[in-house]
Amino acid sequence: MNFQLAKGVQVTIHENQKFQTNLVSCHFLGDFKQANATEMVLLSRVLMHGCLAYPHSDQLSQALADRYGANLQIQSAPLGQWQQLEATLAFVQPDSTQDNLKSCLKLLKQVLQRSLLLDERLGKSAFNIEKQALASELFDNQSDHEFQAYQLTKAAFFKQEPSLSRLGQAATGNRQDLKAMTFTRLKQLYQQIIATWRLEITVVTSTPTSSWRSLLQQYLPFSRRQIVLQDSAFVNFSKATSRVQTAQRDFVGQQSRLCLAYKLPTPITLVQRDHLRLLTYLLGQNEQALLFTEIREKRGWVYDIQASFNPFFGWLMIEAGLDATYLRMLPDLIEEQFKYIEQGQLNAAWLNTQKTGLKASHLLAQDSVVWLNQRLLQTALWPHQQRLESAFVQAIDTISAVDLSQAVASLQLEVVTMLTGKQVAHG
Amino acid sequence: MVRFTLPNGLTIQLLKKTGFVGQFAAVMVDFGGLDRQLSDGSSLPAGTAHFIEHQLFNKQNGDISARFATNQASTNAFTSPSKTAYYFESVNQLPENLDLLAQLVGEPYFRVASVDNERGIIGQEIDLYQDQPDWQLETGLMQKLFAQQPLAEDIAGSKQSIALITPAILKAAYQTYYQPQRMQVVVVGDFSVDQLQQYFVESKYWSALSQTKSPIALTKKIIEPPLMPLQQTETQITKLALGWRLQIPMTLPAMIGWQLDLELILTILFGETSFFLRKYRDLGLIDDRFQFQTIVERSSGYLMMTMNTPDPLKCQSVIEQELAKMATTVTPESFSRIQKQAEGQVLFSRDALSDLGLETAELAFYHWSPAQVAQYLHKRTRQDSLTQVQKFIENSQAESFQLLGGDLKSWYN
Repeated sequence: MNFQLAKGVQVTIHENQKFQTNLVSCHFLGDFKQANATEMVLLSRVLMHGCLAYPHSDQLSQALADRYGANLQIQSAPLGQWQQLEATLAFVQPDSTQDNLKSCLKLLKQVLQRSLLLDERLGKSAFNIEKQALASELFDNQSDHEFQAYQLTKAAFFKQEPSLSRLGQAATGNRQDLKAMTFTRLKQLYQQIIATWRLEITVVTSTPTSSWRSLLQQYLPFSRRQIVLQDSAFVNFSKATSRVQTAQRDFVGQQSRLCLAYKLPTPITLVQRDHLRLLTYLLGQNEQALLFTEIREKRGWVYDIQASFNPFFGWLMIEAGLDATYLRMLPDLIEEQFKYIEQGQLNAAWLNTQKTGLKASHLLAQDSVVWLNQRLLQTALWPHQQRLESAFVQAIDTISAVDLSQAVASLQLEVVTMLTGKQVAHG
Repeated sequence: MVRFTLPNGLTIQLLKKTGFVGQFAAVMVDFGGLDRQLSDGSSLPAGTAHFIEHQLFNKQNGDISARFATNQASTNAFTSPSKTAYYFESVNQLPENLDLLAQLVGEPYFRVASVDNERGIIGQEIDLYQDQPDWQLETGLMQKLFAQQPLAEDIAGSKQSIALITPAILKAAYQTYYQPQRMQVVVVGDFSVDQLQQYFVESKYWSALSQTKSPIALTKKIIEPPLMPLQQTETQITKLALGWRLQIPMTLPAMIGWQLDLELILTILFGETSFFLRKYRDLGLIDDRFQFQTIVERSSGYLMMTMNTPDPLKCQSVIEQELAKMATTVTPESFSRIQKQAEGQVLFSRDALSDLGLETAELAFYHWSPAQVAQYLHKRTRQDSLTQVQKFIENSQAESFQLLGGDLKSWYN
């Protein structure tokens, strides 16, 4: 069920009796040029810190505990060229009344609409505390080599597209932008998001859908808004890859890290996405995947190797941790696997098993309330791309080895990142 | 929930979850990283339990996870200090996948070539952990809390210890520990309980698991390498770990009650609702990585706190002060709030089939069930919990460990 609460405020509800968990999410969507990643992360933190009714972090946490341990998550969750501030409240309803539900909706309203940023003294205090906490987290992240390899790759990936370079920023924020942040800017961003950004509310609930319009109008109302947002969240690259970029760095450690990023064709169609989704799955998302069996199981070169695919950012990424001895050989071995697929000779029985696995993982996701909530958002944003489970199954079933060969041919290797772990001699 | 035991001593629990698409099943074995002796007293290299976990997937006709995959199932395993668990998740073909699960744990096939290959993979896994400052922090603390004991060593072992592992060692350890009376099976999903019970009673695979009175002995004595000092990795930020190890003997069921009391009281003292966390986070003495864990591994129990801090000494001091005045901080109001939160968490936990299944299996080794946990949390009084936790702190060995990093202010500015 879906309806409009006010102009620019859309609600999508999924009623489900099997879960104890109920979720209400507010997804505020704006253009990626309207705020940088650090601003979005810091704003999420200040909102999570408290609100005018509960100004300190322990007080807000107590309010959540009083609501049977309701779980509030506010985070920046970018979708390609769209920035997203997502506030989700998960709660249970331990009795047959709607008391906890109403109480949770009221709390969410206070957190989002009565932020500490509206009060100069409380707001500045929360701003400084969260700025300090974020600086500490960013400092700690410097020791996370897996994250560093990913981040270097991401930054290099968007370097050749100046109009998209902001997308290369770390989603966790960065020191330079953090130092530049002011209370005035954060307050202005908050007011802009709450009052003007497109708002999609998604609800997974055991409460009948018919009750929700009045519940939201009464307990979580939002004003109408004029939406200014790019048509597509999905990136479009203007240039083909001119040369593969390499990023290399040494660090003190036992393991080395390799990260490869491939550019997807853009604009990407739903059919191409299905092909690339299966390709990613059979490359490195299960124990029978090519990279896992050929590189880990047969050769014993790596413990962790995986592939991921993000159509919003237009990449397919392969990440691995391995001994420095194999670091320079691994890209060639990965390339061999791509060539094998490109030849269109994949074993039919094995390919069928991979399809079966992908379809099963899709079905299993229906037991996840968080996944259902994300699917509701996608339904709200791209209704024409949504399909029944049977249509998804059929789409995967029809993918051939030749389709996968073409999918591989459509990829362009854009970035190779190598972080070499070097042991320090003791003694 | 239905619980029954097969003639070979294997205990099975079936949890029906109406409306769920997924089917989850696990076998948990009472064997983990801290089990380092065979019944004849000979020792096993560190990492043996974890090595078996990796190697059991290898069968005469290849990797058994490929056969799970053809049945639309994904499978995995993990090793903890006192347990090893094997599990699958699927959407149908439950009996066929249960047959495979029984073969996974019941049909070892340890060969020199596969053991050698596995050593390389596990070596990479060990390197992965060693590069993580938080792993180093916890390991450093464990080496002080449990000096000269198996808990001081990582579950995966060290590169030196796994170099000693051979097919013969794996076989001897397998025969000693992989016996049906030492296993718990849990199945969770939307199925016919009667039919599934019948399946287990009639299954040739599950009844093939047999008790071994005299496991084979090792002909060669293992000379374990000394515990290697940590190869300290770079950490940007200074980290502190504090630990308290329970020093008084307790029965297995009592360990869980003790753990639940610690969770309740420590959540009030140091959790997100606490004034402590707010005050020292706001002051910058700790950050969002501050956390505490209460751990029970059979009759060993300990509390661990880990944090990033610019001033470890001050941090340790304020935590000790907070523990000393717990009776005044834990008010009737705060206790009842945390009980209400725990009540909600019990309900939330019912939505995750795999978590529910694994928790049910683990608790069974301590003669508890998730329902008993919920009841305990609900009925517990402030005074009872406080008394238990005070007794724990008074009867614990306390240790600390630090990883020294750089200065946040210099980096930031």
